[in-house]
Amino acid sequence: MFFIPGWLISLATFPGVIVHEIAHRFFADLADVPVYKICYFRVGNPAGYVIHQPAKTLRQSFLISIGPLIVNTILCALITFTAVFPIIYLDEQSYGGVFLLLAWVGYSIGMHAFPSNEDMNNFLATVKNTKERGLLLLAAKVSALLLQLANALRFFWFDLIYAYAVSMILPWFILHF
Amino acid sequence: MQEVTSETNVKNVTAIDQSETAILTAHKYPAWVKFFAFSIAICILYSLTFLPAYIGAARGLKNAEAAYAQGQFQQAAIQYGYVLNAVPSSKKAKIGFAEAVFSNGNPDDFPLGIKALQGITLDTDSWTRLSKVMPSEYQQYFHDVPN
Repeated sequence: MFFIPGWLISLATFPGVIVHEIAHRFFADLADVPVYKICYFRVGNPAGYVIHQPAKTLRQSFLISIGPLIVNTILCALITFTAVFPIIYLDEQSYGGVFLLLAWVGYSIGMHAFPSNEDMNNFLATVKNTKERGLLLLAAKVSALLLQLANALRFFWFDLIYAYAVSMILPWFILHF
Repeated sequence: MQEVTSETNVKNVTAIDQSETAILTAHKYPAWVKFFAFSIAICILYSLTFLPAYIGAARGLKNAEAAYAQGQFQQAAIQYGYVLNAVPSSKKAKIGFAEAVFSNGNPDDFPLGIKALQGITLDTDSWTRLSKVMPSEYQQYFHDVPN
């Protein structure tokens, strides 16, 4: 196991940070939550952020927090789709640079799919104060727990493992069905 | 009003400047973001033109591996040959083809297996697999390379 500083990983995978912030912004817009400021990427900590009005409902907060998981996962699967065949399945000795570019962008996006702990802290604050009950609350609490666990496992490159697994989904379906 | 930040890899929350509290127009993104998305879309469209050949080759590879696992070495070699016709630089297909040819045991085909392996570097696993089936007189053509 080798340790690489977070800022360096963010720099190497900056397309993922940009898409992560776009996803927060997109879902804030969808949930009608005003956005004040967005930093798509910077060299520092945090690598990107979105400043928005506090969400009024649990649904709004859930959407904004979980937005990157949805958007980054879908884009990772789509962008890496064509690159996985020459690079992984066929192990081509020479392939076009466009496949390398797609693999880099796709895996970078996949690696930033998990909402950060700060995202989850904001979300958990809403969960704590909400008067809503039922299935949404349960789903919210379980999701928050799983995502916090996923964030903790980033130390063991779980974000890269997740991106790799996501990239194999579409090719696997095509080859098996 | 209290603002909330949704951030990546956050350790500290940034103080908010009062001048930054104007509401941004919904679903409006900077030109460079649109250009970035457009460039990726073009790359995806370009790569899609290779997809039918790649999918066919990947399916062929799967069939070849299945044939080899069932001991149908000649069938496996033919399938690997189809893959190499579609994607000539596939390392997996080259190694699989050579392995199938050597396992099939027809000495007339052995040079084809050696030719397929020309110019490629084998990892330890691949060499272990190949050396089990490759006739010893051909193994002298391979040498260790530094990592």
